[in-house]
Amino acid sequence: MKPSPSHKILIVDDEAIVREILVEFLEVLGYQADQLEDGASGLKAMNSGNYTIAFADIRMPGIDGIEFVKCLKKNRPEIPVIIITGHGTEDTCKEAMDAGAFAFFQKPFHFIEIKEVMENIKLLPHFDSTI
Amino acid sequence: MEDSLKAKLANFFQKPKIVILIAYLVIGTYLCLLMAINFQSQTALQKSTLKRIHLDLEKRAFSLGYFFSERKHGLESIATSKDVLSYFINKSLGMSEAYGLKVSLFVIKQILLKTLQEKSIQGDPIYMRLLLVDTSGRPLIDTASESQEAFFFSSVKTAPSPDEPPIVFIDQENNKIKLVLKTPCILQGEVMGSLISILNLDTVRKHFVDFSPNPSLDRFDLVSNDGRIMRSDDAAQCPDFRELTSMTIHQLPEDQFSLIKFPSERAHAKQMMVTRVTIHNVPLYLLSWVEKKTITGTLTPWQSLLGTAFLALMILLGIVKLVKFNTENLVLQTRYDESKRQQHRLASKNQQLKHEISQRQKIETELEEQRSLQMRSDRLRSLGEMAAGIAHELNQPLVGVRGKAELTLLSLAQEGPLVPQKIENNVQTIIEQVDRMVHIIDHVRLFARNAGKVEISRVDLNDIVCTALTLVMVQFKSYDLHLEKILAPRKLFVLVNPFSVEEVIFNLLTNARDAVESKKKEAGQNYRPDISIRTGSDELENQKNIWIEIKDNGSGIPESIIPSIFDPFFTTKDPDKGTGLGLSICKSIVEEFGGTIDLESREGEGTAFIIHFPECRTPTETDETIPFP
Repeated sequence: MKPSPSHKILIVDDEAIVREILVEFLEVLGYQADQLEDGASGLKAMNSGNYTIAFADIRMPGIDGIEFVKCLKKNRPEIPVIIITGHGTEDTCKEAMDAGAFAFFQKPFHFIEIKEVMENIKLLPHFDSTI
Repeated sequence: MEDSLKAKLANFFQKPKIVILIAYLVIGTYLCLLMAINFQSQTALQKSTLKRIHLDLEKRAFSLGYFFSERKHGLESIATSKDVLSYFINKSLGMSEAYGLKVSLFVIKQILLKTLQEKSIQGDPIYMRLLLVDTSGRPLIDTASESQEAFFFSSVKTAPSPDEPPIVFIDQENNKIKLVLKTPCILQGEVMGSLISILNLDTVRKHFVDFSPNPSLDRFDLVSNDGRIMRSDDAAQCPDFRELTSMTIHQLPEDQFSLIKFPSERAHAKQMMVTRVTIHNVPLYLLSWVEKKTITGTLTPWQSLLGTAFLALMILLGIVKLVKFNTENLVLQTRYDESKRQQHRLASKNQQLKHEISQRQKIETELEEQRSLQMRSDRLRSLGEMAAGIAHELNQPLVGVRGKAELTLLSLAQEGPLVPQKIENNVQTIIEQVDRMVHIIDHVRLFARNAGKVEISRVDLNDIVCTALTLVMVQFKSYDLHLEKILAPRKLFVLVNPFSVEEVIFNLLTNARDAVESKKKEAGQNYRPDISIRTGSDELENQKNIWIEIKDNGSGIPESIIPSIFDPFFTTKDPDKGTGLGLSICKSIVEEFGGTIDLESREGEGTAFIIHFPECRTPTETDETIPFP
């Protein structure tokens, strides 16, 4: 099962190694992913309509992850956003989910987690037709 | 003008001495007045006493005069009685003595005897002897017994008498004074004989002279006008009046008392007040004697005045002393009361102060507890945040380690020519990330290394700088940074924990490195990073200050965030580059050793951190025991 190349994923994280690992994981899973290191440029890229899925860190310079989700949900509510954080607590998790995040991961994340969340995304109704 | 007068008056009365003097004068005047009144009244009393005595004297003189005139009238009535007259008629008619005249004489004698017996004052006979004499003085009838010597009127000496012929004559024969009354018997204008009576002097004295309502005070004496005192022999207690001559008596003024000394030649003579009164128509004086001291007392009014004055003076002095004593006492009492009140006030104030102090101590203890609680919770929080920060820092490379490891596993499952290369890259990245983690852990360990250690020693700040530089030099070289080191030539001794100060220097150098790195990214190739570290000392208010300056020409700090630059967890760096604790830790370390940390910064131009420590002059024991590496 090959994912559709029409799905493009954006990774927004200020940590280079995290972006690198995520990109490689997603490549293994058959997705193409771009990366940006701050929330503002990430939002801009998302609003351009090139991306259908987003990964975002919470702690970032400028716009942080929660803000990123909130802003993105206003314009593009259908895009699932997966939140990854280096020091997650239950509160931040709840905050992220309330803001409209699709999933919440704690660093260091596992390959299997990424795989599962991508499979879950594929189950979303509006992804049916595209997948 | 008026005001100045008032002021003067006020000033005058404000002087306490003058007021006291005036008070003394008033009291003295009052006492003088009292004494004067006393003197006057005493004098008046003496005068009135003398007056009373004089009045008594006059009364007695009057009574005596009346008594004598009574006697005269009594005799006259006998002399003119028909019995006496008939005798003289019969005699002139030539009646024979042996017959008719004898009867007549017998009758007269009976009358005379009867008179002698009957006339008395309260039983005391008035007359001693009654005689009828003829013109030649030969006694015709004598009431005296035959044994008594004959009385001849011719021997009676008539004392000098006033205008009228005297009623009474005084016989002084044989040094015996007799009061004699003589009444002529007149028949047809011719004196035929005389009726003579000799008065009982004792009766006269007893009833008119000697009796006295106040015998101790005054006494009276009957004196003939030629100066002979008629007195009974038993009057021994009386003063010796032999000196009192008739001349003296004559010279005595009638209505005044004269002072006479008895006896005059003696020093302690009796002083007698003497006066005399003439008895009307009788050659007699009535003398009054008063001993002076019974009237005036032993003191004269002047003596008493002096005595009273002395007493008054003593009383005055006593009052003055008493007032002074009382005033002093009052002042002392007032002072004592005041001091007691003061003491009381002080005690209550003390109590209050104690209470306040204990209250304050309580509050301070509470505050201290609160503060320590706050500090503990702060520490816990900061520990939690630090732990979170450390977790965050470690989680980033862990993502890389774990991700690369999983990718390696995934690659191993594949087959292809690129796999070994991939695996090698992955492992390389894993090593890099592990190094990064080691660096973070080193950082934490560095921070924790001397945590809780407060051992301080006297060390040379230059040594600390050198040790810190050896740690960062390698790092700086890898960043291709130039570090300038200008150290003071002399030793800069400070009393610190060298490890902690080393940490501070390390932190500040790391900050400087980040600042120049950040600027390098912006400014590009033309920018030449420059970091310098300098040490030195300067003198300020007799206190030598050691300083260390770490300066860079990096990105600088915006003015708006300078005030919060030393706050814990305040950071502008990327999350993987710091937790925001560095500068706050630096500040607390510097302040712990009595130092200060300041910074000068301009955004885009660079930052300089300057730390001051007080110089440690005297070498301490720790100087040798803990040599710094």
